[in-house]
Amino acid sequence: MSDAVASTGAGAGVARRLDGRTAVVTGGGAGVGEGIALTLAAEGANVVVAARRAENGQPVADEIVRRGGSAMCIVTDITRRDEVARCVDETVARFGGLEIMVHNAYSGGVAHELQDLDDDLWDQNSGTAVWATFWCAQLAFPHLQRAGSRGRLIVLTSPSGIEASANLAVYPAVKGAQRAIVKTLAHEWGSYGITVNCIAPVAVTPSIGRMFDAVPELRGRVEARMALGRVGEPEHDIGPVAAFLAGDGARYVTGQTIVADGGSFMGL
Amino acid sequence: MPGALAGRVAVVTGAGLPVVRGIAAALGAAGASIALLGPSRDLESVDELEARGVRVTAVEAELSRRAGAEAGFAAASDALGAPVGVLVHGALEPIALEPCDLVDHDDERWSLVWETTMRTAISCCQAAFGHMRDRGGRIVFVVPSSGLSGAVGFSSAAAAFEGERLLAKALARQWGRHGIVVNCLVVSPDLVLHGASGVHESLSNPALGSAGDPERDLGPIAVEMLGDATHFLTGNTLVADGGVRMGAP
Repeated sequence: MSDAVASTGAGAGVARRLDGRTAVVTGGGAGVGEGIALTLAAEGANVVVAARRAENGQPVADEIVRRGGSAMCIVTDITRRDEVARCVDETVARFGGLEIMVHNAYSGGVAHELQDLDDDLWDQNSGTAVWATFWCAQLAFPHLQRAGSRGRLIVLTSPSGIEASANLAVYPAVKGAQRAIVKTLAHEWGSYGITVNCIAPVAVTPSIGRMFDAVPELRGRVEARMALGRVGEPEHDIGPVAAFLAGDGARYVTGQTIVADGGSFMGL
Repeated sequence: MPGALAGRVAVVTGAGLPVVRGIAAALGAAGASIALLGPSRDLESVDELEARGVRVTAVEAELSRRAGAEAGFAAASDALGAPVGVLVHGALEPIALEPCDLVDHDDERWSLVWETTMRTAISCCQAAFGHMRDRGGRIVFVVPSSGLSGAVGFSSAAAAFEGERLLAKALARQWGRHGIVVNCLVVSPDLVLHGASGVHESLSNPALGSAGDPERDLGPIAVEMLGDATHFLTGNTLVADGGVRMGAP
């Protein structure tokens, strides 16, 4: 864990929509999580970059501070309840509250067919996607409840959790499960004003980058399906969707999945 | 008496649930040979089915482990004299039927409802694949609509139902080349979950007036989903809740 560093920068004096609020972003050290962390910070939030490795998370926190924002990195293994609890506790101790919990971290996206699935790969998928959603939600809840109508749980799912994938058997299952948890929590927490939503992004991340490297024609095939013709960029294409859901403008949006995929999936 | 499913060997899990038991009876009436698989609570209707003239066997099996599911499918196939061609999967842990808000879940409960339900679904499909990979087959998941809609008090169960529904879609994509079709039959939560009434996302009552009778209303739909005529349907979610939910699944 690094020391928290806060400063005022370019945005000082101009009201931003997340001023005074605190967000935790799991998997905030790379990819979509990094993009969301940078965007929420630019909108004024104190951001906790929860990352499994400090060498990923700390540079993101440092970049936020360099840009004049407020951030800290908390090294967190989100497949352990006690570590999620510690992350939440340290966040509240440092910033005085927690309004926005973003669960983005995931691992286990290794191509497989179900007949070849082994326990380790299932445990990674179930642990990072579903168990961690349960723990992030449950352990953040007292603070989100205190935040009332500013309380937000945002879970990163995938278009694959809606229409499945041919090369990943259990990834669609765990991503679909996240959407069911989100819909249920929207009901269970609605009376407090807390909103609970999913984002289903397609964006350039280290893992997708490796897939594109391994299968060079894949990028073209993916982009050909997209109305906007390009794979999204985490900070500028996905981050603003999270900022919208985190802000007051989305206080009447709950239980939903916003598909931010450049216009590939249009099945809703 | 030849029926639409004559000559098929169907494994049915979760027949302790009335909705699955009714579907099993309809499959039997359509000529399928039935193997009830699972813990003893899911095998109790074997005598009733037998009394109705269904060719049926009951196999106690530990379905949450791959080896247990494979042993169960092997025993079913041996008892009924042919490879398994149909899986109707509805297995659930009893605790999944009881409401509990997410904030009140402990890890043991989450494990029983989410983890065991998913491991059981995965193991059963893996076991089914061994029987179907060279000759094709049919898999139908029976799940309440609570996964589609979310349901107060049923976060872990809703996660599992939607996990199963998306697993069905993924398997439809993966195993289509083997001639295996995989679909989901979504039923009213009123038929499955305790205290789930009134948690529909729709303000509407069932258009058809009720959640349906398992054997008379849902059974014929399951028979159609498993019959020859529907061999080109895969990756689908068929919502048969009496006309409550009408959003795109």
